[in-house]
Amino acid sequence: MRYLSVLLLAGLVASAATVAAAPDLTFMSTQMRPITEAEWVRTVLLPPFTTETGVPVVFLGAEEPELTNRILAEFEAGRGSLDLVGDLHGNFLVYYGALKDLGAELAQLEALGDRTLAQSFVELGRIGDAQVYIPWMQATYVLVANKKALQYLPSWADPTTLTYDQLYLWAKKIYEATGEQKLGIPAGPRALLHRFLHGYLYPSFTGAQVKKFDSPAAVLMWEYLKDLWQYVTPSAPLLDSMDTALLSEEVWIAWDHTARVKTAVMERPDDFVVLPAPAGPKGRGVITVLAGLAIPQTAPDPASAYQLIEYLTRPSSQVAILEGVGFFPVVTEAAGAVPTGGLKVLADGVAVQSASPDLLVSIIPGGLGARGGEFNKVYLDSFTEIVIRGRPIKEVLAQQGALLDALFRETGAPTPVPDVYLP
Amino acid sequence: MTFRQLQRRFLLYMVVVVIALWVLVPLALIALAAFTPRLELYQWPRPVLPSGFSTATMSFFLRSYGTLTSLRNSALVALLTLGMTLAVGAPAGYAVARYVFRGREAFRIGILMTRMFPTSLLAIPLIVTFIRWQLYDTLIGVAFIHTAMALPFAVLITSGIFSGVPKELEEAAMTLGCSRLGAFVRVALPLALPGLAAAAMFTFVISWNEVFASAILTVRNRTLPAQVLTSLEVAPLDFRFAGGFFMIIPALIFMALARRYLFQMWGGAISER
Repeated sequence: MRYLSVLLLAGLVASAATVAAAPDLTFMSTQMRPITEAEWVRTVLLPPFTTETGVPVVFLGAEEPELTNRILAEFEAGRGSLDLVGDLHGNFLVYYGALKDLGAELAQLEALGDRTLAQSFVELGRIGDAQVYIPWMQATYVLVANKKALQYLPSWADPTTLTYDQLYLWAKKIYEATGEQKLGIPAGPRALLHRFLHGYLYPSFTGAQVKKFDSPAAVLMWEYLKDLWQYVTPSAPLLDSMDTALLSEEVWIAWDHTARVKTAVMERPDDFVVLPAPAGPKGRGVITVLAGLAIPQTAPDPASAYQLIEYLTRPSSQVAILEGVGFFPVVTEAAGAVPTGGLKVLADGVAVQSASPDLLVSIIPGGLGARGGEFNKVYLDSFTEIVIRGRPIKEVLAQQGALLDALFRETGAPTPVPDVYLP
Repeated sequence: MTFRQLQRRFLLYMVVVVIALWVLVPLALIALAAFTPRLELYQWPRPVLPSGFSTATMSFFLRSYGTLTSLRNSALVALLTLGMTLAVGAPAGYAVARYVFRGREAFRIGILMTRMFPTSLLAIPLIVTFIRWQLYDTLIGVAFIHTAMALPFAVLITSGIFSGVPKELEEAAMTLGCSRLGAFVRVALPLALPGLAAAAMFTFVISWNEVFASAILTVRNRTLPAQVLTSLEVAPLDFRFAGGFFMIIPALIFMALARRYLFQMWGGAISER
């Protein structure tokens, strides 16, 4: 018995220590990480690439800090395992020094002539003197409403040009009619409430994400939010994403990331409408989330990684990505492709939003490095103090505003869009 | 039995029932949810008992990339960790229990201090070192880290166990012809076995549950928690239930197997002395 267990252990050690070096391509991404999306990438998106080039791809999801640490560490060790990286604009600002300059590859892509990458996105990918990433796909946050809610909309309000005041009246009217708080804003532990605050409310009311944090306009905004919160569902602090709450009809109107309402709209496309986010006094504040593709300097096979970038930015792949996982194209040729069903409802809503004349686009601030979490915390803490605990707005804004200033001063992070356009 | 005794017994049983429910109810709920048809999970209000039994979510999860390999990886890592921890931890615990040496107390505290470093601070240096030592993305590398995490507990638990084994028994063995090592192997070790089982159980659970180090030190050879974290953290509700249920099962099986040694510790070995 004892010899048997020794043998068994030896076998285990041997099998654990031998890991064959794989000749295939490793593609790690913080996007398309949820199990259903990742399986779709593996079984639908990537197989044609492998058939075409003969290069098998291993697609792996990763959390943001995990990917960042890994890339920095592999760079430091001078030996890497990742060939291609998919991540968000803001995260690239943290580890761009470890990435290959893709200037030549970009020129090569554009010379193909079958795709036009959105120029503003290409420029965002130029960090320092290098083309750090190639734009890959985009997403945003919208309002989704159950059709049952539309009858309570004030008759003079147009749902496609909604303002924050109208949203307030709408939620109030539903409450008076049904006795229930049917407005959904995700405020759970993993929710994106901070995006609503810095990328939607702040720009709409003050014209900036950061610069006007502690200003008279901001005070009005917080007063508005306090009023609005009476009509937000009491379970909001438990909700991380809105699709579950929309499907269960716990909420009728919800604000969230397109990927986090997609399940609901796909499941019951006839029951929901997708609307642009509301507008405030300074415009319709909206975040554009931009994902890009990059090759680490330590990539074992950069040539195949470029081939995969070429494949993923083809108009046909871009349409496939929209249909498969609901990320929107960054290539003009793909923008015209019309999907069907729930996806069409979603795509139409996003199209109306991005065509709004009063649109005020924000990019999630980057370059804060390991302190990115502190940025979110300033907004979330202000929310807790003001809306939940009812502390005086000016006092909280002065306190948190000082932290925000210090954060940008100490990290030297660039002023975000649209703040840079303010005088 | 007097009324008072009855009353006390009733209260005792009530407490036992409450504790059992506290453990069992979440297990039952997650098991039910894991096999509820997915659309029913989104209904509001949701019925406690599902109308039907569905394995769709679970089978998608099981068939998806990496789930079964990561289960195998987790089991391998946990067993390797177990072997290494006991091989190093048990002798160390014995030494702390039996020998008086300079700095013994400092050593005891030093053991605990290794637990005070947050692993996340060490992430980058750890990966760099593992790459240089060729341990990056290997299971044995993950097992090394888990051993380092579990050792302090193993040393403390086993030293407690060994100090409970009377020194006189070993001395008696030595007067009857055993060597120092022989006395340890033939007398102290068998008596300490149930306690070692407890230490083993603890080690297994530490390794089985550990996420952070496994996630950053592996690329393709993920362990189950790392795999579940990356694929289910932001996944739809139904998959989170399926994954959660799936993670509980092996741990329950291991507990069931190790349980009888634990009872032996509380009942058998101690009363025999």
